[in-house]
Amino acid sequence: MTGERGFTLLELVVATGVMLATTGALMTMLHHGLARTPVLEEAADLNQRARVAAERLAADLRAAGSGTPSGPLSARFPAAEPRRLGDAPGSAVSDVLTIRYVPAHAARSRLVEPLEPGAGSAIIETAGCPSQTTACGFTAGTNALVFDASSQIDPLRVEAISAGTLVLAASVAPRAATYPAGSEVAEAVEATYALDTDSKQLRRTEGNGTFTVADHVEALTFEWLDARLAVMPLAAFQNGPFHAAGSRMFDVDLLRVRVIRATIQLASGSGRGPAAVARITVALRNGG
Amino acid sequence: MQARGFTLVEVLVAMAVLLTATAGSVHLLAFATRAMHIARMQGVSVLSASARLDELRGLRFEFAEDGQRLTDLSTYLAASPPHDGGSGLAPGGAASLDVNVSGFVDYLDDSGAWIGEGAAPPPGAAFVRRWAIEAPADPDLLLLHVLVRPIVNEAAGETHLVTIRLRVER
Repeated sequence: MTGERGFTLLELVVATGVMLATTGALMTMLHHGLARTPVLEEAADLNQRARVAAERLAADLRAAGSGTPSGPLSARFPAAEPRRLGDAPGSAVSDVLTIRYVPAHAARSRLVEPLEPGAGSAIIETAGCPSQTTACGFTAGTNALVFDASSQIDPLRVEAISAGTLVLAASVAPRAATYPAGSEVAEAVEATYALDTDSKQLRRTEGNGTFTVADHVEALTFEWLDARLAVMPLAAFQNGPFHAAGSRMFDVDLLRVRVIRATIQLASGSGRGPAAVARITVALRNGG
Repeated sequence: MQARGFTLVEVLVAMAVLLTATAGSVHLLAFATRAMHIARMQGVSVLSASARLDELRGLRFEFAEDGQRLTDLSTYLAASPPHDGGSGLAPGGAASLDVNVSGFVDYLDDSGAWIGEGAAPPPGAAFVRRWAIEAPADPDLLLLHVLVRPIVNEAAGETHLVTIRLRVER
Protein backbone atom coordinates (compact mmCIF):
# COMPACT_ATOMS: atom_id res chain seq x y z
CA MET A 1 0.00 0.00 0.00
CA THR A 2 1.33 3.42 -0.82
CA GLY A 3 -1.54 5.57 0.33
CA GLU A 4 0.03 8.44 -1.71
CA ARG A 5 -2.28 10.36 -3.91
CA GLY A 6 -0.80 11.77 -7.11
CA PHE A 7 -1.80 14.86 -9.03
CA THR A 8 -4.78 14.65 -11.27
CA LEU A 9 -4.26 15.25 -14.96
CA LEU A 10 -6.23 18.48 -14.71
CA GLU A 11 -3.96 19.82 -11.96
CA LEU A 12 -0.88 18.98 -13.96
CA VAL A 13 -2.23 20.61 -17.12
CA VAL A 14 -3.14 23.80 -15.27
CA ALA A 15 0.21 23.93 -13.46
CA THR A 16 2.10 23.41 -16.71
CA GLY A 17 -0.02 26.05 -18.41
CA VAL A 18 0.70 28.62 -15.72
CA MET A 19 4.41 27.76 -15.78
CA LEU A 20 4.54 28.03 -19.56
CA ALA A 21 2.77 31.37 -19.61
CA THR A 22 5.13 32.82 -17.00
CA THR A 23 8.24 31.46 -18.65
CA GLY A 24 7.00 32.58 -22.04
CA ALA A 25 6.37 36.13 -20.86
CA LEU A 26 9.76 36.32 -19.16
CA MET A 27 11.56 34.92 -22.17
CA THR A 28 9.86 37.45 -24.42
CA MET A 29 10.96 40.28 -22.13
CA LEU A 30 14.48 38.88 -22.01
CA HIS A 31 14.54 38.61 -25.77
CA HIS A 32 13.48 42.24 -26.18
CA GLY A 33 15.99 43.29 -23.57
CA LEU A 34 18.82 41.42 -25.24
CA ALA A 35 17.86 42.83 -28.62
CA ARG A 36 18.17 46.31 -27.10
CA THR A 37 21.58 45.70 -25.56
CA PRO A 38 23.56 46.96 -28.60
CA VAL A 39 21.45 50.14 -28.59
CA LEU A 40 22.22 50.52 -24.92
CA GLU A 41 25.93 50.11 -25.56
CA GLU A 42 25.81 52.63 -28.37
CA ALA A 43 23.94 55.10 -26.23
CA ALA A 44 26.59 54.72 -23.53
CA ASP A 45 29.32 55.20 -26.11
CA LEU A 46 27.52 58.22 -27.53
CA ASN A 47 27.17 59.83 -24.10
CA GLN A 48 30.83 59.16 -23.43
CA ARG A 49 31.96 60.69 -26.73
CA ALA A 50 29.77 63.74 -26.25
CA ARG A 51 31.14 64.24 -22.75
CA VAL A 52 34.79 63.87 -23.78
CA ALA A 53 34.44 66.25 -26.73
CA ALA A 54 32.58 68.83 -24.67
CA GLU A 55 35.05 68.66 -21.77
CA ARG A 56 38.13 68.90 -23.97
CA LEU A 57 36.79 71.84 -25.92
CA ALA A 58 35.50 73.62 -22.82
CA ALA A 59 38.86 73.27 -21.05
CA ASP A 60 40.66 74.88 -23.99
CA LEU A 61 38.04 77.63 -24.29
CA ARG A 62 38.30 78.46 -20.59
CA ALA A 63 42.06 78.87 -20.90
CA ALA A 64 41.85 80.83 -24.16
CA GLY A 65 43.35 84.29 -24.03
CA SER A 66 45.30 83.84 -20.83
CA GLY A 67 48.66 85.56 -20.96
CA THR A 68 51.59 86.62 -18.86
CA PRO A 69 51.80 88.65 -15.63
CA SER A 70 51.81 91.78 -17.81
CA GLY A 71 48.22 91.03 -18.82
CA PRO A 72 45.99 88.61 -20.70
CA LEU A 73 46.83 87.91 -24.32
CA SER A 74 43.23 88.66 -25.19
CA ALA A 75 43.61 92.32 -24.23
CA ARG A 76 45.41 92.74 -27.55
CA PHE A 77 45.01 89.56 -29.57
CA PRO A 78 41.96 87.35 -30.15
CA ALA A 79 41.65 84.50 -27.66
CA ALA A 80 39.89 82.53 -30.36
CA GLU A 81 39.46 82.80 -34.12
CA PRO A 82 37.12 81.13 -36.64
CA ARG A 83 39.92 79.98 -38.95
CA ARG A 84 42.93 77.69 -39.16
CA LEU A 85 46.31 79.25 -38.47
CA GLY A 86 47.44 79.06 -42.07
CA ASP A 87 44.26 80.67 -43.43
CA ALA A 88 44.38 84.19 -44.79
CA PRO A 89 43.40 87.03 -42.44
CA GLY A 90 39.69 87.63 -42.85
CA SER A 91 38.88 83.95 -43.32
CA ALA A 92 35.98 82.91 -41.15
CA VAL A 93 34.07 79.64 -41.20
CA SER A 94 31.49 78.25 -38.82
CA ASP A 95 33.12 74.88 -38.16
CA VAL A 96 36.69 75.85 -37.27
CA LEU A 97 37.97 77.29 -34.00
CA THR A 98 41.53 78.20 -33.09
CA ILE A 99 42.32 79.10 -29.51
CA ARG A 100 45.48 80.71 -28.20
CA TYR A 101 46.89 80.99 -24.69
CA VAL A 102 49.97 81.06 -22.55
CA PRO A 103 49.60 78.04 -20.27
CA ALA A 104 50.23 78.18 -16.53
CA HIS A 105 53.94 77.74 -15.69
CA ALA A 106 54.90 78.53 -19.27
CA ALA A 107 58.45 79.57 -20.14
CA ARG A 108 58.51 83.32 -20.71
CA SER A 109 60.90 86.22 -20.93
CA ARG A 110 61.56 89.46 -22.81
CA LEU A 111 63.79 90.34 -25.72
CA VAL A 112 67.08 92.00 -24.80
CA GLU A 113 67.76 93.02 -28.37
CA PRO A 114 65.34 93.80 -31.18
CA LEU A 115 64.21 90.81 -33.25
CA GLU A 116 64.36 91.44 -36.99
CA PRO A 117 61.93 89.60 -39.31
CA GLY A 118 64.63 87.33 -40.71
CA ALA A 119 66.64 86.80 -37.53
CA GLY A 120 67.57 83.20 -36.72
CA SER A 121 67.92 83.70 -33.00
CA ALA A 122 66.48 85.76 -30.18
CA ILE A 123 68.41 87.07 -27.19
CA ILE A 124 66.29 86.98 -24.05
CA GLU A 125 66.57 88.23 -20.48
CA THR A 126 67.55 85.57 -17.98
CA ALA A 127 67.35 87.70 -14.86
CA GLY A 128 64.42 86.59 -12.74
CA CYS A 129 64.11 83.29 -14.57
CA PRO A 130 63.75 79.98 -12.73
CA SER A 131 67.15 78.81 -11.48
CA GLN A 132 68.75 75.81 -13.17
CA THR A 133 67.46 76.93 -16.56
CA THR A 134 69.64 77.84 -19.52
CA ALA A 135 67.15 79.88 -21.49
CA CYS A 136 64.48 80.78 -18.98
CA GLY A 137 62.68 77.46 -19.26
CA PHE A 138 62.52 77.38 -23.05
CA THR A 139 63.73 74.12 -24.54
CA ALA A 140 64.29 72.78 -28.03
CA GLY A 141 60.84 72.22 -29.54
CA THR A 142 58.98 74.87 -27.55
CA ASN A 143 56.25 76.66 -29.50
CA ALA A 144 56.15 80.30 -28.50
CA LEU A 145 54.72 83.66 -29.39
CA VAL A 146 56.57 86.94 -29.55
CA PHE A 147 54.45 90.05 -29.07
CA ASP A 148 54.80 93.70 -28.24
CA ALA A 149 52.57 96.43 -26.87
CA SER A 150 51.43 97.51 -30.35
CA SER A 151 49.35 94.44 -31.26
CA GLN A 152 52.12 92.77 -33.20
CA ILE A 153 52.24 89.03 -32.72
CA ASP A 154 54.17 86.23 -34.39
CA PRO A 155 54.81 82.55 -33.74
CA LEU A 156 58.28 81.24 -32.96
CA ARG A 157 59.56 77.69 -32.73
CA VAL A 158 62.62 77.09 -30.62
CA GLU A 159 65.01 74.76 -32.38
CA ALA A 160 67.86 74.87 -29.86
CA ILE A 161 68.92 76.88 -26.85
CA SER A 162 72.08 78.28 -25.36
CA ALA A 163 72.56 80.63 -22.43
CA GLY A 164 70.03 83.39 -22.90
CA THR A 165 69.56 82.63 -26.58
CA LEU A 166 66.78 80.93 -28.49
CA VAL A 167 67.76 79.49 -31.87
CA LEU A 168 64.64 79.82 -34.00
CA ALA A 169 63.39 77.33 -36.58
CA ALA A 170 62.96 78.80 -40.04
CA SER A 171 59.99 76.53 -40.74
CA VAL A 172 57.29 78.68 -39.14
CA ALA A 173 55.57 81.56 -40.92
CA PRO A 174 57.93 84.45 -41.71
CA ARG A 175 57.64 87.34 -39.30
CA ALA A 176 56.31 90.61 -40.65
CA ALA A 177 57.50 93.03 -38.00
CA THR A 178 60.59 93.96 -36.07
CA TYR A 179 60.08 93.42 -32.34
CA PRO A 180 61.79 96.00 -30.12
CA ALA A 181 63.79 95.09 -27.05
CA GLY A 182 61.34 94.49 -24.20
CA SER A 183 58.85 92.59 -26.35
CA GLU A 184 57.53 89.50 -24.61
CA VAL A 185 58.35 85.95 -25.63
CA ALA A 186 56.19 83.24 -24.10
CA GLU A 187 55.59 79.56 -24.57
CA ALA A 188 52.10 79.30 -26.01
CA VAL A 189 49.41 76.92 -27.13
CA GLU A 190 47.70 77.58 -30.45
CA ALA A 191 45.28 74.77 -31.14
CA THR A 192 42.66 74.33 -33.83
CA TYR A 193 39.45 72.34 -33.58
CA ALA A 194 37.91 71.35 -36.90
CA LEU A 195 35.63 68.72 -38.36
CA ASP A 196 37.19 66.38 -40.89
CA THR A 197 34.17 65.77 -43.08
CA ASP A 198 35.58 62.65 -44.78
CA SER A 199 36.27 60.69 -41.61
CA LYS A 200 33.61 62.56 -39.59
CA GLN A 201 36.12 63.14 -36.85
CA LEU A 202 36.43 66.18 -34.62
CA ARG A 203 40.15 66.84 -34.53
CA ARG A 204 42.43 69.03 -32.44
CA THR A 205 45.60 70.21 -34.15
CA GLU A 206 48.46 71.78 -32.26
CA GLY A 207 51.76 72.40 -34.06
CA ASN A 208 52.36 69.32 -36.16
CA GLY A 209 50.32 67.06 -33.93
CA THR A 210 46.72 66.15 -34.61
CA PHE A 211 44.53 63.93 -32.51
CA THR A 212 40.92 62.89 -32.73
CA VAL A 213 38.65 64.21 -30.00
CA ALA A 214 35.46 62.45 -31.16
CA ASP A 215 34.38 60.00 -33.86
CA HIS A 216 31.14 59.95 -35.84
CA VAL A 217 30.61 63.70 -35.64
CA GLU A 218 27.85 64.70 -38.05
CA ALA A 219 28.12 68.44 -37.65
CA LEU A 220 30.07 71.05 -35.73
CA THR A 221 29.12 74.70 -35.38
CA PHE A 222 30.73 77.49 -33.46
CA GLU A 223 28.85 80.67 -32.63
CA TRP A 224 30.54 83.89 -31.58
CA LEU A 225 28.66 86.06 -29.08
CA ASP A 226 29.29 89.66 -28.10
CA ALA A 227 28.74 91.33 -24.72
CA ARG A 228 24.96 91.43 -25.36
CA LEU A 229 25.07 87.71 -26.07
CA ALA A 230 24.02 88.41 -29.66
CA VAL A 231 25.49 86.06 -32.27
CA MET A 232 28.04 87.94 -34.36
CA PRO A 233 27.82 87.20 -38.09
CA LEU A 234 30.96 85.66 -39.58
CA ALA A 235 31.05 88.60 -42.00
CA ALA A 236 32.03 90.80 -39.05
CA PHE A 237 35.34 88.92 -38.89
CA GLN A 238 35.99 89.17 -42.62
CA ASN A 239 35.69 92.87 -43.33
CA GLY A 240 38.43 94.40 -41.20
CA PRO A 241 39.81 96.66 -39.95
CA PHE A 242 42.76 94.37 -39.36
CA HIS A 243 45.43 94.56 -36.70
CA ALA A 244 48.95 93.11 -36.57
CA ALA A 245 50.60 91.86 -39.74
CA GLY A 246 51.78 88.62 -41.28
CA SER A 247 50.39 85.21 -40.38
CA ARG A 248 48.61 86.35 -37.20
CA MET A 249 46.89 89.41 -38.70
CA PHE A 250 43.33 89.56 -37.36
CA ASP A 251 40.03 91.38 -37.68
CA VAL A 252 39.60 93.64 -34.63
CA ASP A 253 35.96 92.57 -34.24
CA LEU A 254 37.36 89.32 -32.82
CA LEU A 255 38.32 91.31 -29.72
CA ARG A 256 34.60 91.92 -29.07
CA VAL A 257 33.82 88.22 -28.69
CA ARG A 258 32.77 87.41 -25.11
CA VAL A 259 31.19 84.00 -25.29
CA ILE A 260 31.64 81.06 -27.64
CA ARG A 261 29.01 78.41 -28.16
CA ALA A 262 29.80 75.06 -29.76
CA THR A 263 27.23 72.58 -31.00
CA ILE A 264 28.51 69.07 -31.67
CA GLN A 265 26.15 66.61 -33.34
CA LEU A 266 27.14 63.02 -32.82
CA ALA A 267 25.78 59.89 -34.48
CA SER A 268 25.99 56.38 -33.13
CA GLY A 269 28.81 54.17 -34.37
CA SER A 270 26.56 51.88 -36.41
CA GLY A 271 24.60 54.75 -37.89
CA ARG A 272 21.35 53.06 -36.82
CA GLY A 273 21.13 53.85 -33.14
CA PRO A 274 20.43 57.12 -31.35
CA ALA A 275 22.06 60.47 -31.99
CA ALA A 276 23.15 63.11 -29.51
CA VAL A 277 23.82 66.80 -29.46
CA ALA A 278 26.31 68.38 -27.07
CA ARG A 279 25.99 72.12 -26.64
CA ILE A 280 28.62 73.95 -24.69
CA THR A 281 28.75 77.64 -23.93
CA VAL A 282 31.90 79.16 -22.51
CA ALA A 283 32.62 82.76 -21.61
CA LEU A 284 36.15 83.80 -22.49
CA ARG A 285 37.66 84.25 -19.05
CA ASN A 286 40.61 86.37 -19.90
CA GLY A 287 39.72 89.94 -20.73
CA GLY A 288 39.20 90.97 -24.30
CA MET B 1 17.98 -1.64 -11.87
CA GLN B 2 15.19 0.84 -11.80
CA ALA B 3 16.08 4.40 -13.02
CA ARG B 4 14.72 7.03 -10.71
CA GLY B 5 13.37 10.24 -12.36
CA PHE B 6 12.93 13.70 -10.89
CA THR B 7 10.14 14.24 -8.46
CA LEU B 8 7.62 16.91 -9.18
CA VAL B 9 9.03 19.00 -6.31
CA GLU B 10 12.51 18.89 -7.84
CA VAL B 11 11.18 20.00 -11.20
CA LEU B 12 9.19 22.83 -9.63
CA VAL B 13 12.19 24.04 -7.64
CA ALA B 14 14.38 23.93 -10.73
CA MET B 15 11.87 25.92 -12.72
CA ALA B 16 11.47 28.44 -9.93
CA VAL B 17 15.24 28.94 -9.83
CA LEU B 18 15.31 29.37 -13.59
CA LEU B 19 12.48 31.88 -13.47
CA THR B 20 14.11 33.89 -10.72
CA ALA B 21 17.36 34.04 -12.68
CA THR B 22 15.59 35.14 -15.85
CA ALA B 23 13.53 37.70 -13.99
CA GLY B 24 16.78 39.02 -12.48
CA SER B 25 18.39 39.62 -15.85
CA VAL B 26 15.24 41.26 -17.19
CA HIS B 27 15.31 43.56 -14.19
CA LEU B 28 18.99 44.26 -14.77
CA LEU B 29 18.33 45.32 -18.36
CA ALA B 30 15.53 47.64 -17.30
CA PHE B 31 17.80 49.07 -14.62
CA ALA B 32 20.64 49.63 -17.10
CA THR B 33 18.31 51.41 -19.52
CA ARG B 34 17.04 53.67 -16.76
CA ALA B 35 20.55 54.38 -15.48
CA MET B 36 21.67 55.27 -18.99
CA HIS B 37 18.79 57.67 -19.42
CA ILE B 38 19.52 59.30 -16.07
CA ALA B 39 23.20 59.65 -16.92
CA ARG B 40 22.28 61.38 -20.15
CA MET B 41 19.84 63.68 -18.36
CA GLN B 42 22.52 64.57 -15.84
CA GLY B 43 24.99 65.36 -18.62
CA VAL B 44 22.52 67.68 -20.33
CA SER B 45 21.64 69.22 -16.98
CA VAL B 46 25.27 70.09 -16.14
CA LEU B 47 25.98 71.48 -19.62
CA SER B 48 22.82 73.62 -19.52
CA ALA B 49 23.59 74.98 -16.07
CA SER B 50 27.16 75.84 -16.92
CA ALA B 51 26.03 77.42 -20.20
CA ARG B 52 23.77 79.84 -18.34
CA LEU B 53 26.52 80.57 -15.81
CA ASP B 54 28.91 81.38 -18.65
CA GLU B 55 26.34 83.59 -20.33
CA LEU B 56 26.05 85.51 -17.06
CA ARG B 57 29.85 85.72 -17.10
CA GLY B 58 29.81 87.09 -20.63
CA LEU B 59 27.70 90.13 -19.75
CA ARG B 60 29.53 93.38 -19.13
CA PHE B 61 30.74 93.78 -15.52
CA GLU B 62 33.99 95.66 -15.70
CA PHE B 63 36.04 98.79 -15.26
CA ALA B 64 36.40 100.94 -18.34
CA GLU B 65 39.83 102.35 -19.10
CA ASP B 66 38.90 105.56 -17.27
CA GLY B 67 38.05 103.53 -14.16
CA GLN B 68 34.30 103.90 -14.59
CA ARG B 69 32.17 100.90 -13.62
CA LEU B 70 30.35 99.30 -16.54
CA THR B 71 27.53 96.87 -15.75
CA ASP B 72 25.03 95.30 -18.11
CA LEU B 73 21.59 96.23 -16.78
CA SER B 74 19.46 95.60 -19.84
CA THR B 75 19.97 92.14 -21.34
CA TYR B 76 16.96 89.82 -21.04
CA LEU B 77 18.42 86.33 -20.64
CA ALA B 78 15.26 84.23 -20.41
CA ALA B 79 14.60 84.59 -24.14
CA SER B 80 16.46 82.78 -26.89
CA PRO B 81 18.32 84.62 -28.27
CA PRO B 82 18.60 87.13 -25.41
CA HIS B 83 17.37 90.64 -26.17
CA ASP B 84 17.16 94.11 -24.62
CA GLY B 85 14.51 95.06 -22.10
CA GLY B 86 15.69 92.93 -19.19
CA SER B 87 17.74 93.71 -16.13
CA GLY B 88 21.12 92.23 -17.08
CA LEU B 89 23.26 91.72 -14.01
CA ALA B 90 21.03 93.74 -11.68
CA PRO B 91 20.23 91.66 -8.59
CA GLY B 92 17.22 89.47 -9.22
CA GLY B 93 15.70 86.02 -9.10
CA ALA B 94 15.20 84.06 -5.90
CA ALA B 95 18.59 83.14 -4.48
CA SER B 96 17.00 80.00 -3.06
CA LEU B 97 16.06 79.07 -6.64
CA ASP B 98 12.89 77.34 -5.42
CA VAL B 99 10.34 79.48 -7.28
CA ASN B 100 9.94 80.61 -10.86
CA VAL B 101 10.68 84.33 -11.13
CA SER B 102 9.76 85.71 -14.53
CA GLY B 103 12.89 86.71 -16.44
CA PHE B 104 15.00 84.36 -14.32
CA VAL B 105 13.61 81.06 -15.54
CA ASP B 106 13.46 79.16 -18.81
CA TYR B 107 12.62 75.67 -20.00
CA LEU B 108 14.69 73.20 -21.97
CA ASP B 109 13.89 70.04 -23.90
CA ASP B 110 15.65 66.74 -23.24
CA SER B 111 18.61 67.73 -25.41
CA GLY B 112 19.09 70.99 -23.53
CA ALA B 113 17.61 73.22 -26.26
CA TRP B 114 15.61 76.25 -25.14
CA ILE B 115 11.86 75.84 -25.64
CA GLY B 116 10.23 78.56 -23.58
CA GLU B 117 10.04 80.81 -20.54
CA GLY B 118 7.43 82.08 -18.08
CA ALA B 119 5.74 80.81 -14.95
CA ALA B 120 4.71 77.38 -16.24
CA PRO B 121 6.61 74.89 -18.41
CA PRO B 122 5.51 74.54 -22.06
CA PRO B 123 4.64 71.06 -23.39
CA GLY B 124 7.75 68.99 -24.02
CA ALA B 125 9.82 70.69 -21.33
CA ALA B 126 12.27 68.27 -19.71
CA PHE B 127 14.14 70.74 -17.51
CA VAL B 128 13.40 73.95 -15.69
CA ARG B 129 16.38 76.29 -15.38
CA ARG B 130 16.40 79.09 -12.79
CA TRP B 131 19.09 81.57 -11.99
CA ALA B 132 19.65 84.41 -9.60
CA ILE B 133 22.03 87.31 -9.21
CA GLU B 134 22.97 88.36 -5.71
CA ALA B 135 24.89 91.54 -5.02
CA PRO B 136 26.76 91.65 -1.72
CA ALA B 137 27.70 95.06 -0.27
CA ASP B 138 30.81 95.21 -2.46
CA PRO B 139 29.82 96.84 -5.80
CA ASP B 140 32.53 94.91 -7.62
CA LEU B 141 31.32 91.49 -6.63
CA LEU B 142 28.39 89.34 -7.77
CA LEU B 143 27.16 85.95 -6.68
CA LEU B 144 25.68 83.98 -9.56
CA HIS B 145 23.43 80.96 -8.96
CA VAL B 146 22.03 78.53 -11.52
CA LEU B 147 19.76 75.57 -10.93
CA VAL B 148 18.65 73.01 -13.50
CA ARG B 149 15.98 70.57 -12.33
CA PRO B 150 14.40 67.74 -14.35
CA ILE B 151 10.64 68.06 -14.76
CA VAL B 152 9.74 64.58 -15.98
CA ASN B 153 12.39 62.34 -14.45
CA GLU B 154 12.96 63.40 -10.87
CA ALA B 155 15.43 60.58 -10.32
CA ALA B 156 17.95 62.38 -12.52
CA GLY B 157 18.64 64.86 -9.73
CA GLU B 158 19.35 68.53 -10.09
CA THR B 159 22.41 70.63 -10.87
CA HIS B 160 23.13 73.65 -8.72
CA LEU B 161 26.08 75.86 -9.62
CA VAL B 162 27.28 78.95 -7.80
CA THR B 163 30.12 81.25 -8.71
CA ILE B 164 31.54 84.63 -7.75
CA ARG B 165 32.12 87.21 -10.43
CA LEU B 166 34.65 89.96 -9.84
CA ARG B 167 34.67 93.25 -11.67
CA VAL B 168 37.91 93.45 -13.63
CA GLU B 169 39.48 95.73 -16.14
CA ARG B 170 38.92 94.53 -19.68
